[in-house]
Amino acid sequence: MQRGQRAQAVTIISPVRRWWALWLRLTWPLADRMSLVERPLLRLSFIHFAHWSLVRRMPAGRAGARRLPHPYLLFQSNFDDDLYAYIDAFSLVVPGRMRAMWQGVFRFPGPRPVDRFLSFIVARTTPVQHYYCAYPEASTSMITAALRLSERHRRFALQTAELDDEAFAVRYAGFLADNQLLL
Amino acid sequence: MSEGTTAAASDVSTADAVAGDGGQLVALVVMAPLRAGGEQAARAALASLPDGRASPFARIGSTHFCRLLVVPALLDGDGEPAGDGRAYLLFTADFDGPLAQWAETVAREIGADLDRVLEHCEGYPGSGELRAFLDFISEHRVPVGFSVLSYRAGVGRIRASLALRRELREFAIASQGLAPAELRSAWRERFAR
Repeated sequence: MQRGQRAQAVTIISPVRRWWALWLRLTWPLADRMSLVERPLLRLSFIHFAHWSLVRRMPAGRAGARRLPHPYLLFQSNFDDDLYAYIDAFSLVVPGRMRAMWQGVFRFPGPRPVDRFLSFIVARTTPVQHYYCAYPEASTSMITAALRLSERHRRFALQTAELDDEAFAVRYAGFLADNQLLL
Repeated sequence: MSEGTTAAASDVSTADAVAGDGGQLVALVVMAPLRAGGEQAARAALASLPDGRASPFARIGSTHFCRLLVVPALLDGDGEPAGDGRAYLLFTADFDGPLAQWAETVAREIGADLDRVLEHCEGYPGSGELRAFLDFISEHRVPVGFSVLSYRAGVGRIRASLALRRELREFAIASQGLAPAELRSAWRERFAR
């Protein structure tokens, strides 16, 4: 765990069956364009950025490069606070999406029961030796709230620029009431 | 995604680049084999990098996240070392693009710090020659297939928004009970810059 900051890193690289790698290559472009896939994951509200990649050759960007013994699913996430809570939430809230990503990984136990899934993840996690986050004190929720609040503040400032003091005070009270969950 | 072909440093697949702030949010994944016997030296070099706010990447203002780690060996389905059992260095970053600009800044500002780690990778040319550095990145770049992003904004905008949020909270507390004229004056003083 990275001390003194909200964002944590997890990195998992796992061998997958070749047919599963094909499934991922076919479905990822579709999933990337469909908010239907992403939306439940975002609702978990503790993922900053998460990425999935397939590594099949080394070096990956060279034509005719050496084929690896298996394709490898590389998962790296930047998330808030606690890996166990993170995996727990994935298992309980989006088990279908976990299967859609991990089913073809060798020895994948399924997202439930959660303790087996957690053991599977922990056993395959590669420790991160160096980690940097540009906003270490901020959680995902804080950042999304701050970005929304910033835009509302900008609109509020524009809309109230010409108001008299009394009218401004009324609008300001409304601004606070409307945005109390973002503050 | 292009597999098995060399991508130019400026080429970014749809999954690798996500537009935000009208610009480009790039997810970079670089995986390179370590030289024979280089694993321990790479680990030692990584251990010597200051982390947190003292990280070299703090000097690259467009970097959201960055990680560096040693993958000891790729395993097979039975959990045994697969293939030649070599170790790899994994270097990933999320930043405000484009890639060439970010990489040029990295090479210029923290090249020496990064060299101490990446020099243990096979074929690493160093950050001194930008073209060679970019080519190394491109050659070892792993395409990103799928991403989940909770927000799409540049580092500067995120930091400014977090600071504004703190100021608005402080102002909301401090301005309680002010008469309208005082409230307006305090607001202008605080936010009308």
